Order: sequence, then C-alpha cells, then structure tokens
Amino acid sequence: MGLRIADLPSWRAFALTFALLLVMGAASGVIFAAAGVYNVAASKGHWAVTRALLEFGMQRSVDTHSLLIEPPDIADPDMIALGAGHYRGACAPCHGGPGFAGNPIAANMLPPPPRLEEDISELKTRQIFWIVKHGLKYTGMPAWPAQNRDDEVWSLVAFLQELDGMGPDRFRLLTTGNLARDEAAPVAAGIPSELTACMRCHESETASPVSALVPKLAGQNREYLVTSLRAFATGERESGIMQPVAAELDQDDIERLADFYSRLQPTDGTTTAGADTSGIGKQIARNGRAEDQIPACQSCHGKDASPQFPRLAGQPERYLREQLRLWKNGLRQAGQGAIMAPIANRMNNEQIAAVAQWYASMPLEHSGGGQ
Amino acid sequence: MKKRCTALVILAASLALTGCVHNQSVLAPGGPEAENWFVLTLVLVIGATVIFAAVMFFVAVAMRGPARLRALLAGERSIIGGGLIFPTVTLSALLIYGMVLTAGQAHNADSEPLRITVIGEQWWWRIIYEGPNRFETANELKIPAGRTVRLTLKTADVIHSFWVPNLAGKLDMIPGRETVLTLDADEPGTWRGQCAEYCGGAHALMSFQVEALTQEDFSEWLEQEGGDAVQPTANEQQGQALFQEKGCGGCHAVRGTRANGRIGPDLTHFGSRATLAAAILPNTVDDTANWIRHNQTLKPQNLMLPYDNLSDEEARAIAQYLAGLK
Repeated sequence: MGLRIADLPSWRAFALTFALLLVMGAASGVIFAAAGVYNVAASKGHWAVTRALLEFGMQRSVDTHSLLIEPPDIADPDMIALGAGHYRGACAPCHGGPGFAGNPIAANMLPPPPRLEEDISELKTRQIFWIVKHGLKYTGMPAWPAQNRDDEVWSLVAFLQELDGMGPDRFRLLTTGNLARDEAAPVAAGIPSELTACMRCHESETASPVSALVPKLAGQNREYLVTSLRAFATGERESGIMQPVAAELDQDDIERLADFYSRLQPTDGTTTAGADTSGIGKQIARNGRAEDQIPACQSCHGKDASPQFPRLAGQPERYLREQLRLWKNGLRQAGQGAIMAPIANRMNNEQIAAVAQWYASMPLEHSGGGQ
Repeated sequence: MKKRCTALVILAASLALTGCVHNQSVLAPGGPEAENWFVLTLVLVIGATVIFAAVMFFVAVAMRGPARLRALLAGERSIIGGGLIFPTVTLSALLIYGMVLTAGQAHNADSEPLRITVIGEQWWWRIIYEGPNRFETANELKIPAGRTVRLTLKTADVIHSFWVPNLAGKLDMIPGRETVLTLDADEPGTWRGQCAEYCGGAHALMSFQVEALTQEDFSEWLEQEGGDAVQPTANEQQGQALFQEKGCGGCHAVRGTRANGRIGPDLTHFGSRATLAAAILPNTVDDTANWIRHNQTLKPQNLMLPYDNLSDEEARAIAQYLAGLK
C-alpha cells in the first residue's frame, strides 16, 4: 500500500509540532544556562569541535568583512618603523615576538593570543588590517582606539607583514627604536622611565626619530608639547598610537616630558628634505596666499609666534604632509586643532606638498626649552 | 523737481507710509539718486492703484450696472480703447519717463567724483578708497555730503548685491565683472546697507554702515584713515603682543606694524568704527572679545579661524588693543 497525500499530517499539525519543539528547545536552553552547568573557565578550553566551529566562523567573518579593503603600498620602512614602536608597547605584551616571551598572564587567555611571527602568514593583508582595526569579539583582541586613523593601522600592518619569520635581533632593533639595546639601561642612565615609551619612536639625545611619520620633539615649544600630550590622552586628538602612551601619564609626567624634549638639542640628520623647487612652499609659508584665503604659516609657526603653536622648521616632510591630510580628511577638528582645520581645507595637494617640503628644508629652530 | 518731491512725500505720509521711515528705508531718500527712485516708485504705486480701482469699477458695472452702460462696455470701442490703446500709451509713457529719470543719474554726477571700490566677500565688505593715497578699510563707508561718489562694485567670491535703500537702488556685484553705482547724500547722516542677494549661510549677517560727513569732517577723516595705526598705549601693548604672536596678522593688516594679512578686514583704524563683523555687533571691547572667541557661533562658517581656545583674558587684551586703534 503506497503513501498517499491524505496520510501526511495536515499543515496545521505540522506547524503545531514545530512551535512545540521551538518552545521546548528555548526552555531547555534557559534551564541549561540557569543551572550553571556550562563551564566558562578559560582554564578548561573548548571541545575540539567547538573550537573548530568558532575558528571557522571567525575566519569566514573576517574574510567577508574585509573583502572590499584595498591595501595601500605598505612595503615602507617609515611605516614599518612606526608600527614596530607601537607593537612593542601595545601588542607584544600579549602576542610576544621573536625572542620576546610576552606576558604569561596573557598566554593563559582563551584563546591564547597567537604568536604572530608564526601565524601571520596565514592571513591576507586586508584581513590583518580588518582584525587590527576592529578587533575580534570573545577573544580579548581589542579594536583600534582611534577608528578614524586607518593610516596608523596600516603602519602596524606594515610591521606585522615584516614579522613573518623575523629573527630576535631585528625584532629587538625595530621595536625598541631609539632606546639602548638593553631596556634597563636608559632608566639606569637617568632617563625617566616614562621616556622609554617615547623613545621607541621619537628622538633620543643621540638619534633622530625612527620614522619620517614621527615628528621631531627636540627644541619644540614646551606649551605645545603639554597641550598635545593632554589632547592625545583625552582622545581629543585622535591617535591609536599616542593615546595609549599619553593616557598613562599624569600631569607631572607630562610636564617632565615636555621639559625634557623642549630642552633637548636637536640632532642633525635624517631630515628628508625635498627641495621646494616651485617656490610655492616658501611663498605660502612666509606670505600666505590671499586669493585662496591661506594665511602665512609663519604667522603662527614662526619663531616669534605663541608657544601655544608648534614650530615646524626642520620637521619631516612626510609627517607634515600626513598631518595636513588628516585635517583635510576631517580629523584634528577639536581643541587647538580647530584653528588649523579651515586653513588645511583651503590648501590643495600641491600646496600641501610644497609647504611640507619648504619646512622640512629649514633648519630646526630651538625654542629655548622650558619657561 | 524738489517741489514735486515734497508734494509726493506729503502724499506718501497721507498714505500712512511714514511709519516705515528710518535709516534703512527706500521711503526716506537721503540723496538725489534715491529721490528719483522714490518718485518713480510712488508714480508706479499710485498709478497702479488708480488703474486697479478703475478696473474694479468697470467690473462692478459689467456685472450689476444699468443695461445701457453694460452694452457700452461690451462694445468694440471699449475693448480697443481700454484693452489696446490705454495700456500702450500708459506703458510707453512710463518707459520713457523711467528712462529719462534714470538716465539723469549718470549726468548729474560731478566731473570729479570720489572713487571708492567696494568688494563683496563672504560675509563682509572690503572698502578701498582710490586715489594717490589708496587705502583699505571695511564695513563702514564714509562719504562727503553733497559730493557725488562713484562706487566700483566687485566680488571676491559669489554674487552679492550692494544696497543702501536711503541712498540708491540695489546693484549686483558679479564675479568677473565690475559694476558702477553713483550716489550722493544731500545732508550728513548715517544709514544702514545690506547685501540684497542671497550669498550663502550668513547672507543676512552681511550689513554695513554708510556715514555722510560734511566736506570738512570728511577730509579730516580721510587724512586720518589713510595713515598708519596709532601706537598702542602701555596697557594696550600686551594686546598687541598677543595679536602678533597668535597669528592675527596672517589674515589682518594693521598698517605700520608687521601685521600685513590681506585675507580679512584691514584693522588699522578698527577702533574708529561704530560696528563690527559687518555691522552685526556694536564695536565694544566686550563684543570684540566675544567675536574673537566665538566668531563661528556668531556668524557660522565665516572665514575667520575659530579661536575658541584663547582665554577670556587674552581675547579681552586683544580687543582692548583693537579698540585703541582709532
């Protein structure tokens, strides 16, 4: 006797059974959670099947969400050097690095932070960028604190790509920047311990900043340094690299660091000065360009200007250009940056490049240190 | 001419229009150009009123009038007379009258008028007194009473329109072109002008002041205004130092100092102006200090930089210095 349509349960019976199963399923879920039977211990780990499922879901999510990201050219020594300095302070405590164990507490997280020198090659560049920028739910991997600073994220990604198979010597050289090889030495030599974070990227008594993306602080106006550190600490000036460093400083630390750097003698050296061949840069810096409503840069950045404003002579061309680009892209609009914002908006790319070149080619003027 | 104007002014008063007369009004002409326009306006308004009343009368007749009159209105003669001949004659007469009246403007100019260039900017007025001692000021036009002034109107950005209702008709300032407006003020007096063409967000906050002085006072003013800034007094020196180190000179000029910016208003004799920020605020130390720090709140998106982070004391010191620049 064959199966007939009429023998099948009607759609009503089917819907009822389905609803009943749904309610029972939900109820057992609530009972399971309320009873506290499930073990959330990080020490316990996941079942192999759970782990495989979570990893699969994570990989698929990262891949899909990063599909439209176009990586810029990041085989760039300046980006790598800046990323390296940040890695040491922000990433290495959990992820460690070649010849650097990292913090054992972090190693007991679930999942344990991967050793990137081994695992990074499994990820595409766009996937690394997405993870660094957005972090990963339920893993302890945080998102980038300044969501509008993709430029910073790319610098870190540049370093992470280099990290694949890196040896301990190169790792230490890159990540400690201008600090002596032995991290205890500068502290022993009388350098305040807060400076160890600064000198990973900024200059020391003997060396220039490690990257053209990093400003020179030696001889800078003390008042400007204090204002900037405070603005970084509160996030008023957005930076995922500077905020974590500045936020740890108290008022005394900030004053001491500003004292140190404003008095520091500038080292001669790696100014990446392109010649301002067009003369546009000099013209705008000294006289402005009234037809474009651009005032003379020197009226606020010259040596007679208020110590509230930074001196720009001798700063790396690339740093200046990048900062002007940030303003144009709608960043640095709060606090002191608000004054510069409309001017940067009135400048075209050619003018920005020319002004950056002119300032980079000027000798650094010392502010005379603290007041 | 004068007599007829007076009669018409009295007529205007009888129409209860004088309630609107003040220092920014076409109904209170302060010079011959404005008077011509005023007369033309009255002729048009009164003429139109009379014609309108007549038309209404004929409509009433056509609907309710005696049969004889209705027949007359429906006739061909009425159509030709009222619909063809009357408008042709009236409009032609008005055209000729208007042309004769406004053509007179160009002729009654002095052989050597005072030449001033006014440039509309978002949202203020750059005023340049031409001549051997050419100099710049802003938002306050001073003219000698009884002398023809020839204004060359330009714009630095979008279309603006220069309008001082008491002295002349409005005239557009058009990118890439120069327009010329002549005006006279009969007597000394102070009037208000306003940009009369929408020119962006703060258009309504783009006003200025026109002051007619006696020939004597004007010569004195011209001499002083064309000169360099006065030296700051002892308690204004701190303000001057701040003005310079905070970069104000990058946009503003104070002649005789190293502040030589050309972007914003020339401030050489700022202290002698009655108003500030294109006549939106009285020129007091308090208002100037407030303007320096909160200019983007008072006039959103104006080109001045947001100096919100100056302290109140700093802004006041700068305002004090500027007030001293008589």
